[in-house]
Amino acid sequence: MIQFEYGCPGSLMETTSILRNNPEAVLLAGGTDILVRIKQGMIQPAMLVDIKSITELHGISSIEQNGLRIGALTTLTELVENDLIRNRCPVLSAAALSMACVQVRNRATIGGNVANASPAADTVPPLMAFDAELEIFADEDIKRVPIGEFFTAPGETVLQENEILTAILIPDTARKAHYIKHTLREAMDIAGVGVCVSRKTQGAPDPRVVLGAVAPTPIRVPAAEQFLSEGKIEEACAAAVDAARPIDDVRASASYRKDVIYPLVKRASYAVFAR
Amino acid sequence: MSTETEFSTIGKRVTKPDARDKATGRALYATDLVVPRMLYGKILRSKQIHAKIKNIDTSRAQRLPGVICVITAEDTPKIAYGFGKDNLPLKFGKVRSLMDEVAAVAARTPEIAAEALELIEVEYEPLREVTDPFEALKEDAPLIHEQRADNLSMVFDYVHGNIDQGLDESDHLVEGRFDVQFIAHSCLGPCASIAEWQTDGTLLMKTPTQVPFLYQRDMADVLGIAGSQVCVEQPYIGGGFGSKLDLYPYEVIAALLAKKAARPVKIEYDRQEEFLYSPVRSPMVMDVKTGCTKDGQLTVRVADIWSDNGAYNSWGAVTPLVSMQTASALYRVPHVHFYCRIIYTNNPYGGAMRGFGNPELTFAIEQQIEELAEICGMDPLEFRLLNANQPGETNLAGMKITTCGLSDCLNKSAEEVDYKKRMTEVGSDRGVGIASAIHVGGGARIYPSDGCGVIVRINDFGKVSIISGSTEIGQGSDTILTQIVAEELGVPVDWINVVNTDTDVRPWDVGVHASRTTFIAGNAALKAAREVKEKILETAAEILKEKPGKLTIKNGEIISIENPEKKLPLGKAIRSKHFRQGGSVISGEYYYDPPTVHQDKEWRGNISATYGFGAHAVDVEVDRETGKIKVHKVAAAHDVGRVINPVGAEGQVHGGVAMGLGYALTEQIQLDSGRMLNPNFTDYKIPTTMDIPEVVPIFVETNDPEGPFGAKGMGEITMVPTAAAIANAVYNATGVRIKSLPITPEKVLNALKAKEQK
Amino acid sequence: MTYPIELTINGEFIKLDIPANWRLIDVLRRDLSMTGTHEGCGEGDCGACTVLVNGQAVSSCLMLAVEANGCEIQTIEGLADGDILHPIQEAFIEVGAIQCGFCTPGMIMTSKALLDKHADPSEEVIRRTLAGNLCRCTGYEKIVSAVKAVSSKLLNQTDSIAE
Repeated sequence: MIQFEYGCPGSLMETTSILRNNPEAVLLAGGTDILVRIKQGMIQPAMLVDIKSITELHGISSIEQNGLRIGALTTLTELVENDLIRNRCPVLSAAALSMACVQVRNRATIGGNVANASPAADTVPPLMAFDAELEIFADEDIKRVPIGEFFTAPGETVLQENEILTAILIPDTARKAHYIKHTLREAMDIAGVGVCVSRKTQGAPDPRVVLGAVAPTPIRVPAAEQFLSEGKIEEACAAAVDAARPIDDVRASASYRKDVIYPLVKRASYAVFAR
Repeated sequence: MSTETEFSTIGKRVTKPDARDKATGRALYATDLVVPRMLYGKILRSKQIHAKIKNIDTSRAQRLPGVICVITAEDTPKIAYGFGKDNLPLKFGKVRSLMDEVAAVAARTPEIAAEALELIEVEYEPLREVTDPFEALKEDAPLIHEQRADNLSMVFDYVHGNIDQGLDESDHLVEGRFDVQFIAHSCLGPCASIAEWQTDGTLLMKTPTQVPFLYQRDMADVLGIAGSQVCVEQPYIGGGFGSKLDLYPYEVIAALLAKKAARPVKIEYDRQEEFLYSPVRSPMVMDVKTGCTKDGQLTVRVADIWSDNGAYNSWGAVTPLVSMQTASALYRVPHVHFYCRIIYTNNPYGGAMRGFGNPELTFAIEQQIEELAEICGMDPLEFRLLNANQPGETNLAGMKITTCGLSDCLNKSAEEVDYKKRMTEVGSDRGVGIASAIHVGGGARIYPSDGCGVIVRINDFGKVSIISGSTEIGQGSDTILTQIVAEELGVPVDWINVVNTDTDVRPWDVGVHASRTTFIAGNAALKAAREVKEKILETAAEILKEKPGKLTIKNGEIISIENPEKKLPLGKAIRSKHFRQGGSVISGEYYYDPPTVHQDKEWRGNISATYGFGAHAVDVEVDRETGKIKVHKVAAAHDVGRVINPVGAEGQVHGGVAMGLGYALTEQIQLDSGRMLNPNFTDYKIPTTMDIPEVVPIFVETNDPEGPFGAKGMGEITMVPTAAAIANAVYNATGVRIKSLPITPEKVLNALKAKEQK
Repeated sequence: MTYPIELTINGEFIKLDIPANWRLIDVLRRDLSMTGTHEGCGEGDCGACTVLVNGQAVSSCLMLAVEANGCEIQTIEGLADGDILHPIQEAFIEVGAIQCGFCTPGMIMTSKALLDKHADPSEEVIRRTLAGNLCRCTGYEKIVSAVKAVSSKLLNQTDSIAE
């Protein structure tokens, strides 16, 4: 592995000041992704800034009536095991459990999974299906960005240098959701296609249909959502297929990805709309 | 030989002697070894798939502090090695694949060595590449080895019987093209070797080879030294499966670096190197034709095969040696034509891997068996039983079937998945499938010798040492030898130690391959132990004043059969030989070479002293909307002659089935222009705990007269029929037949769509 | 440049100065010659390098040594009490869960983290927990059986104490 320096700031202010002085520095959270990328020579940071000592990045709490605030450093294992998440947003626990292995889940963080901006990130479709917002520390202040506006391309987000993802906010957990991760292997695999469908548990369903791994970023499919709100599941599936822009890669071909979106959206929709 | 009921350790769940080291982290693998003054070697690989090497400039690398030496082909004897003598440890003049070794560095740390590689400048002149074996056979194809007339490395060709007659006698004939993929052994322990030249000019290699004695000669030849100058020491081996059956360039390079640096050199792969630079299981395209009469008797079989050998001939090049037995001996077929082309391409080259050509052709043959059964309107199980090999037969290839439990294996595995009933059920997404296999079970005379030597020695205190040429690679052969010797000598297993030192001490052996160790080394150990027992009883007879024939050894004590109160502790008998003038050491040795022959030019001859048989029956479920296959159960029945150790035998079945499942469903080296796209365990998908269904091992014991206590070899056959059985089950569930491995969801879904459109 | 760290490894307090790019596994294998922790892939895909960090199973190839500063580390070398093996080690040997043995230390450490937390995990939980520990030899069956055997043994012990 290439050589780099290591910093371990205790606060967000200190972190941004390190980042300002070290343009080649990269944030280190769980490290399960970044250390692999360094090993493979994909990135060559001059410094890793370990943010795990910053207390406000940790913790899961209730906000407002039905909301949740999930600190960016919440590990995938915490998502799996935490009672607030399990009770109020079980789909997020399930998505986290589907990822990697326990050794990695014990280290990997939700903030890392979101900020790395993989089109196949498993926590993202559920978060998008809950209209999550991202809390970002910027210019000594906190701003909020809807998760749907966060991703710009594979590995790219609107996050500026010197900005830090601090928490994920789920404004209203009163939704029923189902995530299906389609993989070749039953574990230790990355989604070939990910589908999350959600609906409000009370009142009009206001559904969400989110697809992962079939476009440069995870995508919502408003047309499919519209069909679902009209109870037209087959049409919603077709709309989801139309919206996908998958590629061929080692995990699946584009045409196969297109082929399975239909049944997966159908299954997720039935799971959510079943009485 | 004792009868079954009297066995003290044969058939018992004896634990592995190496397990304690392995469970406590004390077992040392080659990757763990460090010796004083050791340097770290790293290898620069070709950046070009096919190119002339115009120039190599190592000067900047040489100057990097911490670099001790840099070598290229110019620093080597340039002696070609491998089958066909077509490979060099460091390539000279030309590179033929991305695996090709161009230069190497020895440095104080692995980091410095890696940095030095970046400083070596190689100037290439790219040549036209060919990565498709069919293209490689065309007249205008670029030559991989320019001194040859074409890219056809070898052809394996035989006709046994009369094909025209076979075709004439066929009422039904099925034909089809089947293809199988590149896969990787994926041993969990990466390759590593340490080369150290001793002051007497001997090269000591600490290396995880499966063939230490053949390795001595191969290494000596490529270095231009005498075989007596190479000593091989094997640390614990982190998985073999055939991957360590040859001498590989990295090991020779370690020796060359060590020579130049005059210091020990270690070369160690990381996972990516392991995937990119280890030999693979070669892919094959197989055009297969099988015929039968209207009442289901097999009449003819024709296999016409293209094998993508990659750029060099290693063991992958001779995998047809086993495929041809699958063709001639899986079921009784009177007329067989086998033709296989080994084709050079710019792809990674093939090595040996578990089953060695057998899972490949079995995948095709066992699907055609079902196609014919369907045409005949017969239950596929009945069709198989009708054609199953029988004890006492000699087939056209000269293979003598002695004991044979194939019919039992078929019936028992079928029963376990309720095959007969489930087979005819329609309208569900579940399906059952079955496939059989035959594999060598009594060694395999690939070389003029198929022998193994074992020395058994007993010390002053009755402790027994087994010094064997055989190699433990995790499969449990040391346990088997321990049990065989314990049984024969009448001592508890924990009195026995298997000594794993080096080739200077251990007697000769061909190596751990061809499922031969239990059978070959087991027979040698049995007979060496018998000699020891005779010597002990002679000595004891003097002391106890009893005839040797009236004595026996039980639980470490010599007792008179007729007067059990007359007894003598084992150690006492031994000591009486040591504490006397003209005494002797009590030891026995045996070199067992099975009663088999090398195959003749027409590929006839009984290559193995006995054959193993097996059948896997599977229960699968197919998701018709996504094409995904879920395997619910695998019932794996095997004729192993006799189970020496149930734990080990079950372990071979579970492991072989798992490897077969990976082959069938998830594993594939994906290549783009000779470059592996998925060199990691995320994208090269060996099965995880979550991918393994219920696996039911079933043992059929035919008590082979030539086997040690009746046992046959069983290491490889356990992975052979799984893929074929799954393909058959997918057909049973959905009506689509997938003739291409791996059976991916995409292939299934496309086949289902195509069927619907019809 | 190097960074001072303090670790407790198998109960032993250790102070080291290490470069930032040294992973925990490098410290174990290269600095401390604790070669029982194996490196199978270096990318968190195989589990062979699993150790416990503050009781949690972690891939020691995916954690920088500086990140482990102040942590309590348990490795395979620390599991036995002298000659007395840990029940999980015993079970792996008895059941036949070990073939080539390269994956074994990681398997055992992951199993330990699981059993420390849940005395009686279901087969599904055992399988899911061990999913990141690849094995090419055994087909996993005996490994899962070994973990089950330990858990029932541990439960029986607890029961007999309760009685």
